[in-house]
Amino acid sequence: MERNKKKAIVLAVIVMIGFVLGRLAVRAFLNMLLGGTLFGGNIL
Amino acid sequence: MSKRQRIIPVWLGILVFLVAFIAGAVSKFAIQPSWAKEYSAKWSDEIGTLTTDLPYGEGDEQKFDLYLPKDNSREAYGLAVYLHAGGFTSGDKSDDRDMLAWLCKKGYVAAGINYTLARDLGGVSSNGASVYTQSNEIKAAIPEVIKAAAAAGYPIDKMTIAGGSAGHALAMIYSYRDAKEAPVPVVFTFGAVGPSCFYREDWDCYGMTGEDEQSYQITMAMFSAMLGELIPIERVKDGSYLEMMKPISAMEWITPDAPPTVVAYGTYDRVQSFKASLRLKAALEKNGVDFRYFEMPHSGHGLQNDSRIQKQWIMAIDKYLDKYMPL
Repeated sequence: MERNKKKAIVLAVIVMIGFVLGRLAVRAFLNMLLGGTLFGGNIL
Repeated sequence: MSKRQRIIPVWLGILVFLVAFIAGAVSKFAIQPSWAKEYSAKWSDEIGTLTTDLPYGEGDEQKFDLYLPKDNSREAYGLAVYLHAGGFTSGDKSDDRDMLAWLCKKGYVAAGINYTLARDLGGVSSNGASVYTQSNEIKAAIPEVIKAAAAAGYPIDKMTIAGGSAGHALAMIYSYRDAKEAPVPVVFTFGAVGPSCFYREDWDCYGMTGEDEQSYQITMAMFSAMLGELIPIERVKDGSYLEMMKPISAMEWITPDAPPTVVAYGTYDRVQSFKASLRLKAALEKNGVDFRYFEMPHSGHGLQNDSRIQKQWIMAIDKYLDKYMPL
């Protein structure tokens, strides 16, 4: 049970990091084409 | 190390990360702010009648789409024209169908107008198309749009003209340069990220600002292409190119009679000059025009990073439409 809980937490953290980095990557790409800042304004 | 591997195998961690990364990237396009739905519509016969590709000239691209609202009982209608983006070299009136559908749903006769696209902006276009010829096409199209609406039973008594980027530039030229010759009063103009003037010191995004031969050459090539006429390099050097650029410099035509205006620009715009928009703002202020200017301080040409201010901008457009184009 404890092991499964740890597994779920680790997976959730990986999902969150991947999701945030995916959005940031698109923002960085659009900024490169159109201009803009990587942080500030919209949350992601 | 062995303990971590026992909890999550490395391959599973990588796979989950990749799936989440792709989902995050897709979500950037797929998830729109909830408020955006209020200012956009999917076209359907419930909204009205759409007639596409009505000609206003002999050219292949000289066509417009006419959106007529369901209610045809009114004595007169406001016309809302929206001009497409695309750097003067690409794009199509169908790109703005959701915006035009929204305007039609509000009760306006709406129109998307195509114009002859320039083949490139690296020199005078091989097909002769330029911002100047495009602005004249729009000027020629408006009376035809109004005639077509009247013929369909929708007489027009006032209009607004708007657009995005290149379309915004053309909308501003019509509003400030040509409105006095319009068949009906131009009571409002709106849009985003359209270039309004061509002071080369503003155009650092294309490397025009230096006092060297390369900067002069870039200025000459790009501005000549936009104007559709070769600007001698001497005129770039002595600054008199600005007189030549006046026909396509909307800002230069602003007078106290200019229509109310709502615009938005991104501070970090890499496609057109943000600094030029500050001259537009100053000209509107100086002439006492009723206007709203929205600066998106984290965005570029796509206004992509400032959703909160984008909402304020579209709400201002809606408010100005209600004020100057009452139904």
